[in-house]
Amino acid sequence: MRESSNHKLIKTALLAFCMLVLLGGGIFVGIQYQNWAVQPAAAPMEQELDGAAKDWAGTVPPDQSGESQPGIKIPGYASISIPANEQDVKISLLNPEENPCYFTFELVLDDTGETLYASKLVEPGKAIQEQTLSRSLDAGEYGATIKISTFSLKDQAQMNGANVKTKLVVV
Amino acid sequence: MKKMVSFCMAAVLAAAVSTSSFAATKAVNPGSMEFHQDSFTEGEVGVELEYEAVAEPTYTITIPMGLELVKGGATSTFKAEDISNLDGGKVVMTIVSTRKSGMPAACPDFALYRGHNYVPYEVQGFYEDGSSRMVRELNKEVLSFDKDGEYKYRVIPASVIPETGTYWGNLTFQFDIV
Repeated sequence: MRESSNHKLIKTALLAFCMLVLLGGGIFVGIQYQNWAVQPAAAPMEQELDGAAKDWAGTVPPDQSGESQPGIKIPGYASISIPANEQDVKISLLNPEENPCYFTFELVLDDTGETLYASKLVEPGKAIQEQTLSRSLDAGEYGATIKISTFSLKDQAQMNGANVKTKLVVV
Repeated sequence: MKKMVSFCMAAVLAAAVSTSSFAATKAVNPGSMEFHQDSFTEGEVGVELEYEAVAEPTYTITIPMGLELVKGGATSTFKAEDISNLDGGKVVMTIVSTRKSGMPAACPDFALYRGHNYVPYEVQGFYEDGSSRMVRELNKEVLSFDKDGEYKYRVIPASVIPETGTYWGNLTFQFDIV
């Protein structure tokens, strides 16, 4: 009789324990659900560094304020001159040294949306100075955009980016 | 003697040109230099210089790293440096994308995303003359400037932020000289 009572007690305790585990698990899942769902579906992709990028020894527009401001320095190109009927061109696609991110560059023709050149990741302080375009251009002026995408040095998470409109002068 | 003077002058010229080429402006990289003389008795002395032009950046704009969304709005700053030779034009800043890779297609423009929540926002650009412009659409001018300086914009949530935490979204700015 007493043994049966002990069994009952053990069963009840086990049942209570299981219910507690289930309840705790449910609460945990409920709390974490929002956090699990908040991140964008696609994790940042591991991208390759661009082997053509070299240490930048040129000049950059000076910081005239004397104070460092957190942010991403975007180089602007009012116009770019390249030779006609040649695929190999020289444009300094620069990621300034102070930047907290990698850059990728894409040179796109405005009229057609055609990508003439796309780089891999460029580290801060480096520049790609020679590019091979997907095709040569005839002499003339073309509207173009340099699309600069930025990725965190830490985890390659995407950061704010910039499109720099420019005039491609082909001579 | 005359030949000697000629030779020396050519050497000095070559050295001077060489020096100036290394101190040249950022638009030109030093190339090769050749020194020719027909003979040591008669002839011409000449210097040939070759440069390889590399298109380099002409101005820099510092943009904010991310997007901050706080109750009442958060102000961020652009810094423009070396803005010059715009031929009477100005740099116009627009926003061409507010998305981040991996964001669901259902997330509208000008909204940050977290789980099942979207928080719409609008952007207010401030001009030097004290005026401002509210922008809720892509490809609309947020602000413009024609000289170096710091320029501000404000990101204002258009609704109550439903919960605290990290919201996802990025801005892609476009700079155009018009």
